[in-house]
Amino acid sequence: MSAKPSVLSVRHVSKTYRLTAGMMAPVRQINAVNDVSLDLREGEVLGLIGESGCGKSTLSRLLLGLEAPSAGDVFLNGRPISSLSRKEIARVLQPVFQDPYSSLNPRETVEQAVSRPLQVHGIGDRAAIRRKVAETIDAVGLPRRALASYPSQLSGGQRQRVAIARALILEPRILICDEPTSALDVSVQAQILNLLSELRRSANISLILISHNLQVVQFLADRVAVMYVGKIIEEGPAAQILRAPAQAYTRRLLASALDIAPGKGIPLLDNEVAAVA
Amino acid sequence: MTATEMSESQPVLAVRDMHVRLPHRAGIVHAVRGVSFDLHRGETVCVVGESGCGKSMSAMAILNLLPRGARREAGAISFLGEDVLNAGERRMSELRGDRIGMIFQEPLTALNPSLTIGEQLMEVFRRHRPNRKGEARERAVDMLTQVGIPDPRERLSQYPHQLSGGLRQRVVIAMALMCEPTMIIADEPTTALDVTIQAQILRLLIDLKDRFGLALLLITHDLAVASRVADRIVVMYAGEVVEEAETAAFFAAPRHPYARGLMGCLPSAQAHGSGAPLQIIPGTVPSLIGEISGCAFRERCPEAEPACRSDVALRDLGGRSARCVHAGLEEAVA
Repeated sequence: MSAKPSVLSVRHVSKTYRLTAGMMAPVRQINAVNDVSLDLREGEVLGLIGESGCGKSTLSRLLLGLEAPSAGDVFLNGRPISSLSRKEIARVLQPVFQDPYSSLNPRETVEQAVSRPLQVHGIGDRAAIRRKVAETIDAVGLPRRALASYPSQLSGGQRQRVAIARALILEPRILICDEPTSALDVSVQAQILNLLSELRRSANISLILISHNLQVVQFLADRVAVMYVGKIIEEGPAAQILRAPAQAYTRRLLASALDIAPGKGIPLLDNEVAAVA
Repeated sequence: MTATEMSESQPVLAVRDMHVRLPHRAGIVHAVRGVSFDLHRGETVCVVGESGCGKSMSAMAILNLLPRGARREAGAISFLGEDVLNAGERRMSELRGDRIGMIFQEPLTALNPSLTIGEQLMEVFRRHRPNRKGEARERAVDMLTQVGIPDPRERLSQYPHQLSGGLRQRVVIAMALMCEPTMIIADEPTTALDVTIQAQILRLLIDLKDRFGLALLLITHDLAVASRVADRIVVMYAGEVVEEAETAAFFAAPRHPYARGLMGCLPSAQAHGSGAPLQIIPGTVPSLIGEISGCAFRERCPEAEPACRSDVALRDLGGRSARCVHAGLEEAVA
């Protein structure tokens, strides 16, 4: 086992939503996240995989401190996230979202978008901010001339680089990437995956990579956690989980992640006959 | 059937030199530039490429469902030998939903939310088979059974929102099959679905294609899917076909540098734990506004040379073709 310290710990976290369909209808409870415990160690990439509705996005909101868990605690460097201010969290933990088309303000230039966190946190004078923005733009592989551009003038891949630059500018220790490449074409996806992989090596950043794409997870993750109906059903080293999963659901997920295999057709999944969805 | 026999039989669909132009603030977008291909009975052709390559626009052009203002020109578009390029919208609307089934990405938009599943399935049949209206209900039940939907009779009275995404896409497939089509055009039919559901729907589509002897034109961005279900692969880039080949031959050795680049980009191309970066395709797709001259890929191509500045025709490489000045020279060297 790695001796590296845990930078983010999730302890028995649950999130329950109450749904009411109408005045007379019974109140239903949805256990979106159900008793989840996880550790993210320094410099590690933890892949969180699961399908829509499994609770992985709710979990990411809990990790970001955007919502409070119904039970349990999230610890950031040993301190409960509920005791930290939004700004304190943001210095350590930054999100990268799926859709670079909606996560950037269309009226802000790249320079404004990337420098905003420094201004909000009151870090550096004008010259220092300029310098830091330029460095960060270089680090994510954007040309400096992009600084004056608006999001609409950029491609999807460039926008995702801007989103990553904005997440990196405060030099966080942890990035939470929620489907960071699923809105991108494969050739652009490759560029972003290489960038994330390089950042983790060069800046020793820890990543939580939330994805339904097993190939993406396999490329980046050291450890993998599989989420199903609100629970982590399996967790372990990526090589082990992706080669020899213990759970039937993980096997099913693996079987449906198709690789290139000319003429092989689409495999029949376990329980498919029973479960038409 | 051998390749020669295939090419001698009349294709279900033959597209020749098809162009689509769209008006844009900044000029005319040349979305589809001289696309040609054939689709034969019982065959699956996958058109692959990244967003904006013109693959969906080509499907829409064939169906005469282009957005307002778009202009379609072609040498020929024929369906079962009939000239559908000049047939007019009236004839096309007879063919769509009848001889030609259509399946699109998002099943919610293909279905009318205010009509029951049964009403929508039966409506297709009644419109195209007015003298057999009485059979519509049984036909709908039959098709729902064919696509593996449990309790088909009860489903008839349900609304689309009462079904899961996977079930909705099965209904869309059932609808495409109502009039026993000869050809199905499916544009990213599983992209909006979860991975485990994707596999189920794809397998269903291929099973049905085999069972009914359909010709299937499948538009997809997913090379893995294409490799597994296609008989032939058509690769598009910047509005053009840049490579066409039988599936096994294509994946064994793609002949266009773009096709090779795409395969190298896949995370699965990288051995796990090697730590090596993924191959990338540098640069971005050229703007399709205005005329493009020369090879559209040359700015991003590791093998570009001065000759690439002149227009490059699709080169016949014996049973396959590629739009590259270097294509066909590999064998000479080897």
